[in-house]
Amino acid sequence: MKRYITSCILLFIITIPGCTKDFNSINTDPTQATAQQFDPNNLFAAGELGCANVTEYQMYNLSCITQLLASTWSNYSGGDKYDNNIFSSNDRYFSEGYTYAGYLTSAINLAKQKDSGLYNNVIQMSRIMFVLDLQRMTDIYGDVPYFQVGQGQQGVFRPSYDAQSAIYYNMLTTLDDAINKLDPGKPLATGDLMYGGNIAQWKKFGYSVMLRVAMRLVKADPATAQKYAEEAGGKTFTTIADNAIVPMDGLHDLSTNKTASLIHLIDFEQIRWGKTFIDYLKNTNDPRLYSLTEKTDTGLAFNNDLTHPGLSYTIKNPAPAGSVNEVPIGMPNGYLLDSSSQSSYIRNALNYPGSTGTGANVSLLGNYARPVMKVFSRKDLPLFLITYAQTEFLLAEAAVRGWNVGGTASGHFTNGVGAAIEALPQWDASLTISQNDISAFVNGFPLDISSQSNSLNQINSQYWLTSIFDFIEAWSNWRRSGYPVLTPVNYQFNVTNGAIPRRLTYPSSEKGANPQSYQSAVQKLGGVDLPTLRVWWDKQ
Amino acid sequence: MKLTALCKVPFIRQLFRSQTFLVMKLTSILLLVACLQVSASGKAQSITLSVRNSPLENLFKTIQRQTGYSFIYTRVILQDTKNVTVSVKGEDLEKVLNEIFNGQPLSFTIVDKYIVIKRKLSTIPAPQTGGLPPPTNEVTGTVKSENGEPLNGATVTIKKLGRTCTSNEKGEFVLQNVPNGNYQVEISFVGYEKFTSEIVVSNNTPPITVGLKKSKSKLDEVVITALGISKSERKLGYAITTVDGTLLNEAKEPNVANSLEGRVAGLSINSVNGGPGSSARILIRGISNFSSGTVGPLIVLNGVPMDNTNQGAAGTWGGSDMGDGISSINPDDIENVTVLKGSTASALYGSRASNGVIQITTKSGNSGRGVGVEFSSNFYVNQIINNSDYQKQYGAGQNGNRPLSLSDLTNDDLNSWGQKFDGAPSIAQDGKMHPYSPVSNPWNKFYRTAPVTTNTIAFTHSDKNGNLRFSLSQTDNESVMPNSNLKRYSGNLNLHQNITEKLKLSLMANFINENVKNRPYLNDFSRNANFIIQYMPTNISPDYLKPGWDPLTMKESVIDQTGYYGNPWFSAYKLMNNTTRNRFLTSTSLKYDFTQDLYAQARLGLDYISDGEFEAEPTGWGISSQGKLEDQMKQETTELNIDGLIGYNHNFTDKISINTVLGGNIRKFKRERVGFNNQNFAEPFLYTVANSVGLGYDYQFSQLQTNSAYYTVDISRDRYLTLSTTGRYDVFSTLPSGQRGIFTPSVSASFLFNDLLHIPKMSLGKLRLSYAQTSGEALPYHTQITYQPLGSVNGIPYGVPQSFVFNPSAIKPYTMKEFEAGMELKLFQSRLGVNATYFNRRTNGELVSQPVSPSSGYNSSYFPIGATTNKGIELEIKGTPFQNKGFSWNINFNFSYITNKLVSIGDTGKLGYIELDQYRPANGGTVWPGDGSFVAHVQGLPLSQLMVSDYKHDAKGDIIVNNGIPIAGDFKPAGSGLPKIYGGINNEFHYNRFSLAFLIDYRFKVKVLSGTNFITTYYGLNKNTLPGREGGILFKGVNTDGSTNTTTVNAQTYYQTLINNVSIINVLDASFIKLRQVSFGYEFPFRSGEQRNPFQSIKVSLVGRNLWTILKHTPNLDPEANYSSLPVDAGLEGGNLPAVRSYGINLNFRFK
Repeated sequence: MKRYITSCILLFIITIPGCTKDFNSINTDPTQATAQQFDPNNLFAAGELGCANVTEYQMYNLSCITQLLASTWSNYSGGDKYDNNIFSSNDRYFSEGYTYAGYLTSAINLAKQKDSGLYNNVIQMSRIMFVLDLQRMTDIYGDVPYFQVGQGQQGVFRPSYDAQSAIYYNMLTTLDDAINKLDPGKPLATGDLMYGGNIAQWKKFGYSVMLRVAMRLVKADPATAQKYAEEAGGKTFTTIADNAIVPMDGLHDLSTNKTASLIHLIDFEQIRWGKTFIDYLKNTNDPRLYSLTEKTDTGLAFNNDLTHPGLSYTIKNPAPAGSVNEVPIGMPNGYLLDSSSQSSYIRNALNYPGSTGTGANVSLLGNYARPVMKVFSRKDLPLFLITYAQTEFLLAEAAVRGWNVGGTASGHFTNGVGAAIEALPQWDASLTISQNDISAFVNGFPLDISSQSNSLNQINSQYWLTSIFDFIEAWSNWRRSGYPVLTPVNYQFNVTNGAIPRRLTYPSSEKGANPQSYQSAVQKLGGVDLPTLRVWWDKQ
Repeated sequence: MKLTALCKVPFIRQLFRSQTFLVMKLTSILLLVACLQVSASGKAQSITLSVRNSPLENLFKTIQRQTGYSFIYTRVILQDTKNVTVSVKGEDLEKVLNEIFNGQPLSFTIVDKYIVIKRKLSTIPAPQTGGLPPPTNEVTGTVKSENGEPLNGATVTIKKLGRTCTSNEKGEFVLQNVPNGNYQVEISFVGYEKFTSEIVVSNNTPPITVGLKKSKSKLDEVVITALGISKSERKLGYAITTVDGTLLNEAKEPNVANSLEGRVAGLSINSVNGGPGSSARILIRGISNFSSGTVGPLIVLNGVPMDNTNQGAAGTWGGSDMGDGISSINPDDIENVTVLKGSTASALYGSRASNGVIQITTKSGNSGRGVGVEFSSNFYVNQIINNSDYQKQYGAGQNGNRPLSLSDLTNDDLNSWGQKFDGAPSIAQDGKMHPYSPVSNPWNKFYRTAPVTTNTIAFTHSDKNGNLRFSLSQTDNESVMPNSNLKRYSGNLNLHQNITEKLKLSLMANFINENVKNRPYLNDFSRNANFIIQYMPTNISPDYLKPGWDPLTMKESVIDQTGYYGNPWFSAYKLMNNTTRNRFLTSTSLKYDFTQDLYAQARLGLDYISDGEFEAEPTGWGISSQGKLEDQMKQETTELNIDGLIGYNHNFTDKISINTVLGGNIRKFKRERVGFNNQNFAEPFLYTVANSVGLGYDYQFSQLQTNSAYYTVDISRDRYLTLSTTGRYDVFSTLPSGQRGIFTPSVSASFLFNDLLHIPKMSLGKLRLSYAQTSGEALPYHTQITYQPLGSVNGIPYGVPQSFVFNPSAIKPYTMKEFEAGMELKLFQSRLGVNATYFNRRTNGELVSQPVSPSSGYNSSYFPIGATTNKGIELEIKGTPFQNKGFSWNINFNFSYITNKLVSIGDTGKLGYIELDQYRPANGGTVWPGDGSFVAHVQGLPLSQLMVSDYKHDAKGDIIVNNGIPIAGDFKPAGSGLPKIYGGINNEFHYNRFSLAFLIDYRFKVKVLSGTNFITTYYGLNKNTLPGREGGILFKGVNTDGSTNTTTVNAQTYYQTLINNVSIINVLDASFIKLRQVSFGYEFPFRSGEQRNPFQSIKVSLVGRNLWTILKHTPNLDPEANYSSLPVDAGLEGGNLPAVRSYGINLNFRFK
């Protein structure tokens, strides 16, 4: 018996280390899918959702840099006042933009690993979307990782930064190649949220991206710009039904509108339409002046209550209930709600319209117009990647430059203006402007062809208008074109010598995560990483 | 007593009635369940002897050699004994002893491993005297332990007469025929301190009742080493320290780990200022493994590893401390805590124990015969310690203006940059006018004096077949934070049963129910009442912010424009952050002695934890008025350990003996978590999952298994030299197939030079040497690439790749090598003991999770960093400077000096340092724009450096300014948040029935990056912000072009910009000396003869903790302040609860 027990225990001890039969399944995470179980389309869908939604920090910086919006809140002061905050959120674009690019490269890798024929269209669409995403990255920072992006699995944890010129040339050839390889004979990409995988639509989309990429080079390399703009001409979007719209459902992080959803108190409490934006609409009698704006109800309590409806502006006298018979007033950029600096105190702003409310319930910003909150606090507000209006304006500019893109500058311009207004209901039905009002405005607002610069001013100002809540694009196109002409804010604690930032400094997270590449990129800038430097295509 | 039924022998005997049944039982346990583990030492020792006419003393030596049992006797009692002739083979020890003592005037008892020889009662003949014998009398009395248990077999001696007797089972003794006169009586019992007293013997000599004190300096102490294997301390080749349970339960800490602070050389404890149920940072010998969550030591309860996972801590963006595993142990149940410090000591536990082991042994019913009942009640109150010393000259406001309206107040939020106090009525948050002058004791208007009660009742029972102890405990711990508390119920059963003479069952079952209401938010300002209360302008009383919400709408009365600066009353009374924990911790072992040399043991350990959390914000919350469900979750954790071992001890010759154990272990760990959250609640005031808008869920699952085999071999020569070696082979499920095994060996030696050299006055002189190699644990789910499905949008499913990427060079966990040398001395009859240790450990290939560039497509990966070293000295000195019959003074001093260094940063791709957690107040955030500060491991320096920006100097050393304000210079390491020098001194005084003890502990060479300093400077509360309030500041510095600064800046702009730019100002020296604990006790005398009182003993002690900070260098804060026990946050502080002082009374009743 003793021997029996002894041998049993000995057997137990000796065999223990050998019993590893289940170890592979024990070490498989049941909450995750393996490569065998996963469809590359799912990654592509995530890439689309992400790329449409590159960071709420667009709002904090770029909404105000472009003077479309203005805010007295410190979160926004980097863009509104060019203070230290311009440095503080610079890594969000990078981390989000590249994370979404990573979804796309993962989709490509997994598709190739499984069957590159079967998943051909997923691969090509991912490549096109990748270009759209990476263009934003390089436009924001300048030289950025490109050729080694998404190669973590291959052991590249710290990609090097590539010259913007090389990135641009490669983006154009990649687009060319990917568009050509889109194949209606192969299975459609089921992960496509925009067009249901429709190849014809994707070709239009691909050329619209190509046009955007090409037109960025009008100063840096006009010949290349012309070549690709002419290639894309005639193949881009033809109607607002082509607009690249990514749906949101507001339920999960990736599918919640972050870039146009002014959901937090710090957003809606102190954000207003910029004076530049409102004045431009006023000066052109644009019907959007009354469609996109509202006034907060009297006093601070209503100002700070998202559930309390705003008052719409109307020219009807007397104003119907829920409206005011007033002309919207835009808030100047560069002001604060507190009196810590007299020159920046909002009460001291030129033509300050006064506050609303009394006593403790005073709302200092109550008389400035804000975005219609029931729309722009929707977490499921759809996002626009590229619109027909934008491509028409780019074609109008190409035509103004005398390039052969088909059609006339005036024609493209008028199409663009109309399309921009007609597309508002694609955001939210409440923004609808009657066809009569649209026609009246469009007909009365032809392209100014008195000079090339007047044309370019008008075209790119409209581009700027139609790019609200696509602030990266609004800012990049402003930097490229110089239009509309913006008067910089001069805030006491600005860090740009009073200049509007022309790039964002490299993300501070890269100092730790990718130090060698980061440092050599900074060296290429002359050793100092400043928001006032210009990227390669941003020639004087 | 009904309880006795629980351990009634017949029941278990019946169960195991026949030997066949027993075998069936055993084999089924071993083979089918494969869970119980086998072991032993045991009473059933057998002897082989053949002697003729041998003196007893010689026989004793032979038996001692064969069995390892020691004989305890005084020579005088052998006076008239007969020589013995005996011949036995493989006979049972007790039988042999019976034979030997047959017809002798002696009796014997076996106590543990000692055979106590005593004179049979009243058999010492009276000495013959000439002439008329003097009148004689009886000297009677009772010998008890200090706990009041009768001691059977104590020796009572009157030296002058050469007379001795021993006490019986009731502890009673009788010395007959003692001539009248004055005598010195000595009473001794093994394991207890000797008692000496003068007595006068006369016609009415009263009975003597003596309570012997447990000896603190046992010569040959048996200690519990790894895996519960007990060894003679003198044979150990490495350092371990045992802390008696009484030191931990007299002044109770909500987390028992905190009570170990200052008591053990090499052990550093950092408690979190996070309210009851908070976790503790436990580091043994510095920080050698920082990559995974299991940074601390392995916690082992009665031989079974328990889960000590930190359940959550406040980080850069706030949060609350969710406690750890050790915090739920009831200190009243703890018999002692043994700290295995070095790798050699813990090598048998394998990789998990590479940071040392804390072994907790719970009390058993071993101590007395029959049934015992003990009741302890502990009551104390906690009070905050206000370390703030803010300026009291300027009040709320900005730029020298006071707020004139409620809207000014919200604009000014916490700023104290207002006017000079003038006492004039000024608007406050309650809409009323209050004097513009400092409020006295504002913190006490918010924080409470919080009572804490703990009651434990314990039943013990023991008989010759075993013993049991069952305890029930209840703790009600109010927090100084209003509306926050911890309630805990726990039960602990400890059962030891000899089923047969050879088969022994041990069972420990510990169950805990713990509810914590509103764990306070820490660090970051949002939701954190501490932040607002502690950094408010001094003219604002917390009362002005009451009640914290609008009674009609229930909307929070926020104190700033954004709502992020929550009203502290709302935060305390309306936010919900509750946790529940049910835990079942059990260990069952069966031990079987085959022969005197060979035993087997099977053991099953299960730690099952069910955690629940409900964290939500209510309707009316300032940031989102619809409220929000942050997390409602359930989590189950199971840690299962199955092990079996075979032990063999043998004395080959007189000189060589061997002790070996061979064992195997299977560990299965599983954690599953299900949680819900939402974007907001739909209907107001209803906080259920179903009432959600944007319902989200969270599901986590993690499991791993480790199979191990291990051995330990000790070879001793004579008594002076012991060589030991251990080895463990772990096979991990977490490693890739084919590379799963890791072997961790150790060797050690102990050399007792006093036995060889016979140094006078030295009872112990030992040299120790050891070397061990160990290894870290690998992480689960790091062997294959996976994808995470996330749901669908418009019916189209989407998902993302895993966010971390594999690094092929980071598959193997780190390795650690440690060399340890030490010396132990006991001098002057053990009145002075010294234990000194030097250790040197080097960790190679530590895996750290580091962010990779997101442009790689991933967020993070694991990298092996080159090497870190920890070297240090540990010193423990125990002394008894005074000792006489009534009074004694004991000192216990310990000292640790640990230097720690990141030798090389390896292949992490990092330039000089690895960044850990950020420091929010200067994180470049939106409220306080700054350049950021963080904790980092810096090459060439101790770990956990505080990285801050310095002033910027020009070539001449002048400070460069911009617009009159110093600008930020380079980032530089400014010292470590982990202490280099720490320890404590405990003094104990005993005077008859009184005892007084106090513990002083200290810490030096440690820094803190103070959020309090930053915030109080930023908001103008700090006294440092007084210069320049009137007239501004003209800083003596130079502009970038070299010209002298001539710009005068107003104080608010200056200090706010300065503190953002130059974060080194916030680095403070966190050294301290503290009077940690004082206890004063008295034990009431009871005589055994008093039938009417039910008590055996009553002990009362008054205790106080954290009474006095003797030395500190941190203005406005406690030097130990922190908000997280995670090493990545070591040295960060701010927005935590204030330090807490406690006073209380501890009552202990033992019933007859």
